Order: sequence, then C-alpha cells, then structure tokens
Amino acid sequence: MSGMILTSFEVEQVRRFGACHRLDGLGPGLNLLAAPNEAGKSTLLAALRALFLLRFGSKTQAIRDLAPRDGGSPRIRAEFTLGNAAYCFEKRFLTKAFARLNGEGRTLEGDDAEAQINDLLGLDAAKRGEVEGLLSTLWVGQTQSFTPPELSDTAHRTIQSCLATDLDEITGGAEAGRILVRVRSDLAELVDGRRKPKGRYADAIEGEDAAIQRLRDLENRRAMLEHDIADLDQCSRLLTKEADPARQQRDQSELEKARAQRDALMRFATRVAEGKAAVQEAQRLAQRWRDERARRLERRATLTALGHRRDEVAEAERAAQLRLTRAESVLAEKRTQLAQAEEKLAQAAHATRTVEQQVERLRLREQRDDVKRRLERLERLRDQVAQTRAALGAIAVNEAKLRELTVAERAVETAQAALQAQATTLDVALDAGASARVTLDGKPLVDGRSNLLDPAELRIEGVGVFRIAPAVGDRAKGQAALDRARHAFEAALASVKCADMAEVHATMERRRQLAVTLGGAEEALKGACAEPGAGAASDVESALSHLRERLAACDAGLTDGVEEEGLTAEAAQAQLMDARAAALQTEQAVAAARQAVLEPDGEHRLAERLLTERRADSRTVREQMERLAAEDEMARGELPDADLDERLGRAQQTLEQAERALARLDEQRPDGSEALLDASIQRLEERISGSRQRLADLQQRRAALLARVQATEGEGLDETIDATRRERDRHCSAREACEREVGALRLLARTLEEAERSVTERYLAPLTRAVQPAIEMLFPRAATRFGTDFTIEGLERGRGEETLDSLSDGTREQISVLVRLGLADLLLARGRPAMLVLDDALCFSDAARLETMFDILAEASRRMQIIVMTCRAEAFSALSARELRLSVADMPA
Amino acid sequence: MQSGKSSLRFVHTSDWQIGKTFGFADDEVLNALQNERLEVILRLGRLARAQGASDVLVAGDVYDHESPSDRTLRQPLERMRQFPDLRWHLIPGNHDAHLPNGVWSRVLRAGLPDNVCAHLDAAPVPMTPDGQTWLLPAVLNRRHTMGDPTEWMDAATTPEGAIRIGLAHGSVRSFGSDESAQHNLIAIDRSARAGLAYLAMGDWHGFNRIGERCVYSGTPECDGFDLGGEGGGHALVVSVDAPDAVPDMDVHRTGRFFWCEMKAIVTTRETIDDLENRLRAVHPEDPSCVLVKLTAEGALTLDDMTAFEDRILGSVASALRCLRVEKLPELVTSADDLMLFDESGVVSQAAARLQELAAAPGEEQAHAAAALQRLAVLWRSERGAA
Repeated sequence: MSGMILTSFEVEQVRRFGACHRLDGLGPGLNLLAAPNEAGKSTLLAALRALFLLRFGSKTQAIRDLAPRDGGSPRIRAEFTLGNAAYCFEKRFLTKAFARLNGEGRTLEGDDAEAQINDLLGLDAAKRGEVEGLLSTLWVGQTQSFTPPELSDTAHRTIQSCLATDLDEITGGAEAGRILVRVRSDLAELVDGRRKPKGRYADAIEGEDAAIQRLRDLENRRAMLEHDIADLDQCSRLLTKEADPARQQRDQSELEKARAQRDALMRFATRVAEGKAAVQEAQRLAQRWRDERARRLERRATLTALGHRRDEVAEAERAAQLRLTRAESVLAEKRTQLAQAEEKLAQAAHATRTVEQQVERLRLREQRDDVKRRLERLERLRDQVAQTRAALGAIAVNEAKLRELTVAERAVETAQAALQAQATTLDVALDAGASARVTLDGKPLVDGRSNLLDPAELRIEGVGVFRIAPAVGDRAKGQAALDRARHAFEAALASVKCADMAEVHATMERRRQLAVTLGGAEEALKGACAEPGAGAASDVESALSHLRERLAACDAGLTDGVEEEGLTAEAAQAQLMDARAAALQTEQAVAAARQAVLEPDGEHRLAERLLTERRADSRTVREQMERLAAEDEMARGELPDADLDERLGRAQQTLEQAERALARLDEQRPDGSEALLDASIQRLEERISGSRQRLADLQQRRAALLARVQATEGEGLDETIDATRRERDRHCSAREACEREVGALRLLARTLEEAERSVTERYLAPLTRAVQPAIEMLFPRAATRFGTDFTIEGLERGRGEETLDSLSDGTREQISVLVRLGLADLLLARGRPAMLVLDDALCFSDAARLETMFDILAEASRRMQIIVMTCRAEAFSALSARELRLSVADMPA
Repeated sequence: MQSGKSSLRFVHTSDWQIGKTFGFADDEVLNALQNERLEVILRLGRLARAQGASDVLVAGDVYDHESPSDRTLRQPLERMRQFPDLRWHLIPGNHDAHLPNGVWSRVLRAGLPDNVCAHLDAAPVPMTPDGQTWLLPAVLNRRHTMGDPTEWMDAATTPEGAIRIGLAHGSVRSFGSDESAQHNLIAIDRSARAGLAYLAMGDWHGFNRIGERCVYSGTPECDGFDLGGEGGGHALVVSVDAPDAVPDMDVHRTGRFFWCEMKAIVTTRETIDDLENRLRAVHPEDPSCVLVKLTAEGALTLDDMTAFEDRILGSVASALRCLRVEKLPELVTSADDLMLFDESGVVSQAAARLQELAAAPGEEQAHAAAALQRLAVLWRSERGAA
C-alpha cells in the first residue's frame, strides 16, 4: 500500500477536547471510529483539515471556531507515513502558534514546515490563511458526502495533471475553465440569463432611447420657438403698423374717399336706372304698335285663308249630302225585306205556340189524373191508420197490464192455496140416490172431496144435521188475505175491462195483431208520402195538401184554351215538331235579312256623320270669318291703319333716343364697384373703430410671446440639441460596441465550451476508468459521464441517462463517495498521496447498498487508508475495519 | 509689423462659433475644446494690445447657434469686456444671422459692453473717433441670402478721404454645384468696386488671402480635422495707412489645439512604430494640444494587433488630447497565432475554431475576430496570473 497513512492523531484544546485526546488504533487499510453523536468525530475531522489545510499563523474565523468556548490555543499533532518515510506534523494556532514537521531526519518549523507539507501532499495556497488541493476533497465531512466534491483550482490542476500523464499533454482545462468563467462573467455584466441587455449595455440602449426622445422633444421645442419668434416678429410689425398715427389718418382718409366713391356710384346708379326705365318704356310703346300692326296683318291673312276654307267646306258638305241620300235609299229597301221576313217568323212562332199549348194540355191532364189517384190512395191509407190506432186505443190491455194481472192472479192463487191448506177435507161417496137427502149448508151434497173452511152444516135427511167445524187456525186472516188478493185481481181486471184472464189474453192477442196492422199501414202511408209528386212531405197532411194543390193547379191549367178533341199526345208531338221546323227556317231567313241591312246601315251612319261634320266645319268657318271681320272693323274704327303706322314710327324714334342716352351715361361710369367699396368702407370702419382693441390685443400677445421666447431662448436649445445629439451618438456607439462585445463573448463562450467538452471527453477517460469498477459494483451495467468540472453529470443505465439531480439522496451520496474513491485511485495511480476520510457518510443507504459499499471500501482499502467515522456502530459493524478509540493522553514532550 | 506713422491698425478675426459642439469628443475633450474657443478671445485681445491695434473686427459667426443659452451668449461678451481699451466690432454670420428676435436681439437686450459694437444695420458707421475711418458692415438677416450682402457698399457714402473698411461674412466664390454654396455669395472684386481699403471676410475657417484688400482670417481656434494645418488657429493684424494704400497684414497664431487628419497603413510591428512616431511628432512638446483623426488600414496578426491596441490606442491616445479612430486595421490570424496558446488543448482548440470563423465570410466573422482577440488577452492574463 502506498499513499498517505495516518498512524497517530492527537488534539488538545480543540473545541470539546480540552485535554489532550488521542485517536488510537490507526493503521493501513480500513479504520472505523464508531462513536455516538457529540463524541467529537466531526471535531477530529476539522482538526485534521486544520492541521494540513490552515496556516498556523492564521486567525481566521475557521481557526477561532476551532478553539474551545472558554478559549485556548488549539494544538494538533499527527504522525503519518508517506511512501516509506514517516513524518510527525504538529501545529498550534492562535497563542504561541507554531508549525513543526519532523521527518526524513530533519525538523522544519513554521512556514518551512507548511511549505514542505504542501509540497508533499500537493497542496497550494488558496484563500487567506488556507491551502487547498485534491487531497482535501477526499476528507469528507458531515453532509458533504451528498454532493459531488467541490474542486478547487489546485484540485483541478491535480486531476488534470494526473489525467494528462496518460495523454502526455496538458489540456489547459483549468485555464479554459477560468477563461470561460471570466467570459461568462463579462457576458453577465452585459446580458442577463434571458439574454436581455443589462448593465452598461442596457444603459446604452436606455440612454440612446432617452436621448432620441429628448432630442425629439427638443426639436419640437425648437420648432415651437421658431414659430413663436416668427409670430413675435409678425406681431411686432402689426403693432408698429397699428400704432402708427399716420396710418390711422390714412385709414380715415381712405374711408372718406371710399364713401365719396360709393355716393358717386349710387348717384350714377340712379341715373342709369332712370335711363334704363326710359328705354324700357320706349321699347314697350314701340312694341305695342308693332304688335298691333302685326295683329292686323295676321287677322287679314287669316280672313283670306278662311274664305278659301269656307269654299272647300261647302263642296265637301254637298258631297256628303249626296252620299247620305244614296245610303238612305239602299237602307230602306233592305229594311223592308227584313220586315217581311220577321212577319213570317211571327206567324211561324204563333203556330208553334198553338201546338205547344195542345201538347201542354194533354200533359196536364195526364198529370192531374195521376195526382188524383195518389191523393185518393193517400187518404185511404190515412183513414186506415187512424182506424187502427183508434182500435188500439180502445184496448186497455197492454204488456204491463198483462204482467200486473198475472201477478195479481198468482197472489189470489197463493192466498187460496194457503187457506185451502188449512181446510177440513170432506170426502163424500154417496150411495145412489142418497144425494138428494144429503145437503151441505142447504145444498145437495155431491160425491167427491170438499174442503171446508167455514163451519158447515151437513144435513142428512133422515139422519139429522151434522155440524162440521173445520180446525182452521186463523181462518179470518187467511180469508182476509184471499179477499184482498181477489179484490186486487178483480180491480185489475176491471181496469182492462175484462172479466177474466182468458179475456185478458185474448184482448192482448188482438192488440198485438192490431199493432202489426198499424205498423204495415203506417209504413205504406210513409211510403206514399215519400213518393215523387207528393212534395217530399214529412207528414201525411202536408203530402195531402201538396197533392191537392197540384191537382188544383192542373185543373187551373186545363181551364184555359180549347182542347182539340180526339187529339192524341203522339199526334200533338208530331205537329209540334213540324211547327218548330217551319219556325227555324223562318228564323234563318230573318237572320239573312238582318245581315243584309248591316252594310247599308253602316254606310248610312257614316254618311250622316260626314254630313254633320261638314256642316259643323262650315258653321265654324263662317263664325270665324264673321268674328275676325268684326274685330278688324272695330280696330280700324278705333285707329285707322295710317294713324297706326305714324304712331309706330314715333315710338321707334323715342326708343333710339333713349338708348343713345343710356349708352352715353354708361361711358360716364365711375371706377370701382359698390360691393367692393362697401366692403372697403366696412373694413376701414372696423379697423378704425377696433384699432384700440387690436392695439391692446397685439401688445398683450406680443408680451406673452416675448416672455415665452425669452424664457425658452435662454435655455440654449440649439446647444442642448447638439449636446443631446452627441449624447445619442455616444450611447449609440456604446450600444454598438456592447452588441459587438456580446456577440464576441457569446461566440467565445460557446467555442470554449465546445472545445472544453471535446477535449474533456478525451482526457476524462482515465477518471472514468478509475470510477467505473466501483460504479458497476454498485449499479450493475451502469456507466457514468463526467463533466468538465470532474463531477458526474449523469448515470446511464438501461432506461437511459439520468441526471444526478434526478437521483435519490442515497444514490447521490453513494456516487459522491465513489467519485472520491475514483479520485483517490487516480492520485495513487500517479504515486501521489491519497487518504479517504468519511464522516457520517452513507447514512441514507439501504442495507443491500451499504453492504456493497462496505465491499467497495474494503476493496479500496487495500490500496489506501480509509478512515470511516460513524454514529451507527451496529450498521457499520459489518465493515471489517480497524477499530479506533479516543483516549486521553499526555502530549509527548 | 508696426509702422512709425499714425495708421489704422486692427485685428481681423472671424468664426468664433462660441458654443460649438463636437460630436466625436468625450466630455473632457468637449469641455476643453469649448473652453478654448472662449480663451482664444483673450488671446486675441492680448494680441491686439501687443500689436498696438485699436479695434478688433469679428467677421461674423460669433456664435455657433441661433439660440445659444444665456451663459453661452454672455461668455464672449464678458471676455471682450476685459479689454476696455479695444473696440470690438461684431457682425452676424450665417450661424448667428440677425433674425427677428434672434440671437442679436438677445445680445442687445443682455446689454453690450461699451467697447463692443454689434453692427446690425447695413450702413456705414464711423469706426474711429476721429471720423477718418468708416466701417461698412454687411449684415445677414437670414442664414442664407441669395443676393450679395455687400452690394450696397458700392453706393454707400462716407466722408471724402475716409478709409473705408468692409466687414462681411460669406463666400467670394461658388464651390461646385452645391446649392448651399451659392448662398451669401460676395463679389470677389467688392473691395475695388466699393472703394474699400480692406474687406475683412469671415465664413471660411482657414486663413485665405483672396486679394490685397480682401482676406479671410479664418477661425482663431481650429475646429475641424479637414482644415488641420492648412488654416484655422490664426488671426490677422492689419494696418491701413491711407484709403488707397495697400493694407499691411501679419498672420498670428492664436489657436492652442492642433487638429490633423492622419492616414496610415499598418501591417507589421515596424509600421506600428512608424505610426506611433508620426503621432507623437505632431506636437512633441505638448501632445495634449493635438487632436488626430486616424484612419489605420492594413491587417495585423493577433500579436501585432495587441501591440497596436496597447501602443496606439492605449499609450498614444492617452498622450494626445483626442485620437479619433475612423478605421482600425483588420485582424488576420495565422497558424503562428495559435502558438500563442502554446500547449493548452482547450484554449488552442477554441482559438483554432475562432480563427476558422474569422477567416470565413459570414455573420460571425467580425465576432470571431474580436473573440479571438479577447481570448488572447484573457489567455495572457491567465498565464500572467499563473
């Protein structure tokens, strides 16, 4: 076994260990310190780290934390072997601090001792008062075992140098890593995690945007200032102009001049209006006489034309008259022919009507006979029904009565039977000839049985009298019941007027027969009423009445006219057909005659209309000529033609004079227009009257503008704009520079990462090989992948790669321990010191995994010293290890 | 040059453009430049005194803006007030034209010192108390006028035998077809036509002698790289003995800053050396007075680029008042550049990849070159730290 082997370790005045305590039993291979909580295990590890990693002169918090609460100077001493050499290294901190190294036959003190230790163990100065190296990562404190080792630069370099020995090259991974850190740091100053600008980059962008906005505002203000200045200039000019007295005088003068011009224009306008009125009057008069002359000429021309028209119309009237005469003659002839034909038609119609009357009389007679027969039959049937109904009405027996009588009869029979049941039976068998001598209640007694209900007196002649008293219980009551039954029966018989039930049944039978008869009679009567010709009456009397009316009508029809005797219906029909044929023939002749009248009639009507029109035309022409002649006469009477011509000439002369006068007036028109002058006058009047107000307004406006301009111009907008432009450009340059820098840094970072990944994959192979056996022991068929920081990034198992974060705490802890073992193996393989210390590690491992970890540790302990400290003595009892003990000891001199 | 006999002597200057802003400059440089434009007024006054001049003619563009701030407005007036023995004659220029309610109205409202006269009317005014010298000021009533603002001088009457001094702002010739150059155009023979002993011109920022009697003084403090050593930063001391005498004039340096435009091609360490030497040689006594606009073309390796940045953009730029770099040489990396990253696998591999990207046209080309440069710097820093 090579590497570093701790053989003795003592602490004094270190936290809880006030007195000197020694860790006994240390040796090569696996060492186990099983002690309960607060036994000082972690303190021992802290002391170990302090001895080798903290400078003896340091007074940092880590050192001060090492001292007991009540103060003291922590002292730590360790003996160890490295290769074949034995060393003793001791330090005291704080008061009387020292460091001493004995070994290789010499003693080194202070810094020399520490330098020698650093050299021996491959440690480097790190932070103030501390050293670091890969060895320190192999001393794992509580809770550190959950996380991958945090590798210092020295540790990095150590690993790299170990790995590079195989590759025979130095990869520069640590430098690349630091460069990458610086690049990322530089980049982080410019962009955040979401690649958004920050820091001076964001400042440049914001500054540029703000400057652009400010510049825009300033330029707007500059434009406003220019506008205000222009406004102010205009305002000043207006003010000067407005306040000028010469100008006011000029305005007044212009106003008066304008008014004078307007008055002249108005006067001229009046004269023009008068001239125009004269022209119009002359025009009107001349036109009047021109119109009058034209009217006369027109009228005379019309009269001449009407004379021609009158002759034409007279000729046309004559022609129309002739045409009418001819038409009347033809029409009269045709009408005569038509009258003759119509006469014949009337005769034929008369003959037809006569025959039709005969036929009708015959039909009426036949109909009367039929009606009469039906009337008689209906009356007969009506009488029969009435008689039958009367007979039925006379019979008192009916079904109800019959049932009532039957019940009454049965009641009598029942009462009799009840009485007879109590009667005394008297059977008589008289000897021949004895009947005359024997009487019962005075009546001769006959043979046979007699029922005696009442006391009877049997007298036998000759014998005497026998009084028989039947033993009837309630003779009176039974008799009374019988009497009531009989009385009721008899009353019932009386109500149907029958003597006995036989009559009742006979009467009932007769009733039934009468009912059948009545039904037949009524059916026949109903049928007779319903027959055609009976008027579909619903009752007999209506049917009878209807038939009587029909009979009367037939009789009335037969009263008129004379009936040809012996004429039969067939002969009458034959005569009728002949008469109708003759009438039809005559009608056709009449139609032809009428057709022949139509054309002459049309011609006649046309000729009449033409003649009327021609006559009207003639009358109209005559009237027009008379009217025009009268008008002409009247006009000439009022004003002869010569006078009219003379007046027209004078009127035209007057018109020409007036027009010339108007033209001369137009040449004298003054300059300007009335509207323009009015506007000018109004403008001048307003200007003069509003001058004071405008002056005040302008002064006020000018003062306001001046104040605004002065307030703004003092700021030096142009300079500010230039300065802002410069600021904008500066920010723009800064932004562009940042953009370039970000681009370069990103590219650099990416390139470095890619290069690092590429190189690391190559040179991490030995580390992977070192760790892989242990990993496979714990996780069969699993493979690991190391990152550029020498930590396991993931575990590749059958179901794919799992990141370290996704694994359980226990698994992560086990992997973390295995990585340290791998690193220790890497150191050992390069002949460098390695020693593993685990403080309360593997506490999350299940029993199976713990066993495997024990095997792995046991296997590794063949190559290096491993010190395991735990509070779980039982769980770690399976770990075959040297048992360490803490004991109080005197410090050696 | 001072003559023995009594003669009119004045300082001719123009185009102060107080309040001018320089967009390229940072705050420190801007303040220095702006301040120096005010300080030069004091130097002009002292020059006038030293040269025995009684008047200072300022041929327009006293202010750079039409609406300066109140402070900017008053600053030059207060500088002039410090020289009560001098008469300062000001006219508007195209930058500060006499617009209604404009900058000159404000100047008048603010109150001019007794020794300062703002000529705002185009009419002859006595320039000296004895009435023997008359000043004919041309006044621009707007920024650009289509007519000749000095034309009226031909017909302007002054006492018989008086010296007529013209003062105007504009261009005596038209440049190209640019329409703006046609504005405020002044007849080149105006001094002869108007019988002027001297026409003091302003508008051009470099000294320019158009003729014996027509001269541009240029701005007293240079304000642009384009003029650089060719003009600007001067004032004229003019002596006029008689109305028809040819004026005598001396050019005096008044500017403090030296503006220059420099172009260089840098490809090697030697060319960087040359450039550094050239830059330092502009004004070796006081590089802080030098402003340079540099256009550096060429291509440098990674190492040389670092040297360029270190020496030119670092050291020299710090020495100068301002180094305005218009163009930087390109970074060209080679296989040798990768040697910078010696045996470091990751970094050298990243550098090689960046070199590929920097050589291939594309979106990332520019970023790749910058990234490579940065990687080199970081790498050296890491190695240095190690």
